Amino acid sequence: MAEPVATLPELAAPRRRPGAAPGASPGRAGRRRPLRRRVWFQRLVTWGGLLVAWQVFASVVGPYYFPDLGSIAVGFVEVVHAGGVQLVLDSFRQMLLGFGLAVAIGVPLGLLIGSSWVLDFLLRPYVNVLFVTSLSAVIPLIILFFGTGFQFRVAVVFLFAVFYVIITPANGVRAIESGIVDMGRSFGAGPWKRFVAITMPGTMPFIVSGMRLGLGQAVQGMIIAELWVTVGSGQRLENLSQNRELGQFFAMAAIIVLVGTVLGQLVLWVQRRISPWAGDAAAAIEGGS
Amino acid sequence: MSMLTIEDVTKTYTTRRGRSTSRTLALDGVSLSVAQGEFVAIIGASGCGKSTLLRMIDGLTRPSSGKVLLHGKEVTAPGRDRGVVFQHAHLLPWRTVYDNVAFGLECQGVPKAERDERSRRYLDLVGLRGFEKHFPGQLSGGMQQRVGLARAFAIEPEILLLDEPFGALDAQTRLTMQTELARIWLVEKRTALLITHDIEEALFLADRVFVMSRRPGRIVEVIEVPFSRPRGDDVRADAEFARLKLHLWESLRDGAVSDG
Repeated sequence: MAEPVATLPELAAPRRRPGAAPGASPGRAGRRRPLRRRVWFQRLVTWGGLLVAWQVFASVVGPYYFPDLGSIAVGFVEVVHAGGVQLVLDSFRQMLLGFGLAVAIGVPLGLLIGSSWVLDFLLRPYVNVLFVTSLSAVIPLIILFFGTGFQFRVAVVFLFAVFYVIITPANGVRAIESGIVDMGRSFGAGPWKRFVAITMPGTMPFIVSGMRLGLGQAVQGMIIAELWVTVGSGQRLENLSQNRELGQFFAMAAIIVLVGTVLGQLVLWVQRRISPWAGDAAAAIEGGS
Repeated sequence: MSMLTIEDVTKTYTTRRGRSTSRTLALDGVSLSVAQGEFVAIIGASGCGKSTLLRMIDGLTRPSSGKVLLHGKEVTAPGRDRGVVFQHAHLLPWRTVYDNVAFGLECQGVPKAERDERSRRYLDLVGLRGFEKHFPGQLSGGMQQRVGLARAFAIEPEILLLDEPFGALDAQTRLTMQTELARIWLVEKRTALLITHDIEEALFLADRVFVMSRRPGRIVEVIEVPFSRPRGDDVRADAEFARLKLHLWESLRDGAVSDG
């Protein structure tokens, strides 16, 4: 009577992590895959190849234009010595404020826009402006409004991030099957119950996905703002570049990228914990309408 | 006193395009009644309005004229006295099977202890014991529909409304699920109304079968199904079964011609 069920390995480990590497299934003890199929080997080859290419290019082009691996390594040490890591962390801390604002305002706004055709009609054009405008070019205008202090940097980060934080959840609301909403109404779920039990969990993967995208933009906004008003990490980068201390420059940039990536992975980890059914929700990436 | 009475119900959809307004008559004077404990089926071609009728009974839309009465009272909104099984189960993918079955009960404010007891009981009844912690994404189509069935049964409605519940399943699973539904229904004998385009399904499951014409939908015929319960698969091979099936098919085929 019972039907043939989904494949047994799925049932044995119902919460198979969506990001599990293809070659690393724990249940395959005893069977050795060829070397070239192991993920760590593939990564080694890819990155190793990249490093080799880097070194060759640097040797050809010369240290004025491009640092070789040795000087980057030295650069790391010098940057850390000169308090570069602290500088980066300070910049990120301030960035988080602008980003936090973007999330606090953008997510509810996005959910509202997704739920109400009227609001969508009214607000989408303005939201799209954020996407189309080259914000870097608009910075002088922002300086006019906010000066060049702390507020300015927060505003820039906010504007860079807020578009994705609005648009992704908005699309996420639409992505919830309308049949499910009907089903909810049919069982007598009122508007609040539908919001809490259907809309919120349904859009959670999109909200988090929007945050990841917004975070990437926020980091860019952070650096650009600091470049403009020459403070913090941006200022340091500018100086290093001017002084052709390219080893340190790349080291600093690498640290920034590293911190940004760690934050992004953190957000992804949080998403997988709260919505394991949704994978990466990368399909949520849609710019503009 | 019948449980469900549909009195001369019509439904017109109006669409405006620029200056012109087009009206589509979806249902044209449908009347039928369902007695307590009866299992009735409505068969009709696609687009004949049977799903619209079901939505009206569920309270999701209102008739343009005529009345839908449950126990003599007019239906205006969805409620705990009606439970729907949808063609696509529409399970919440972020909830476990168990939590999905409990969803209807939650919406109706049933206290936790009773929710637990009923969810378990009906999960058992549909044959999914042991799958409580699975997610819908891990289930086959037939199993998802079982969850949908359990969810509707769990609220213990006055009348069960089934909207082409097996239409999205493959042919073999459909047969299995029909037998399953017949078995499950016998346990409590809840009043049930099945909408389907599958004549055999209607004959296998129902006590009476209504035939609906093509759009605009009207009831053109109703027949009594003579087979006694419990009905096994051998009913499908019965000569009378084949005869009734042919009769119903002819009735469907020759249903009033419309502009459709």
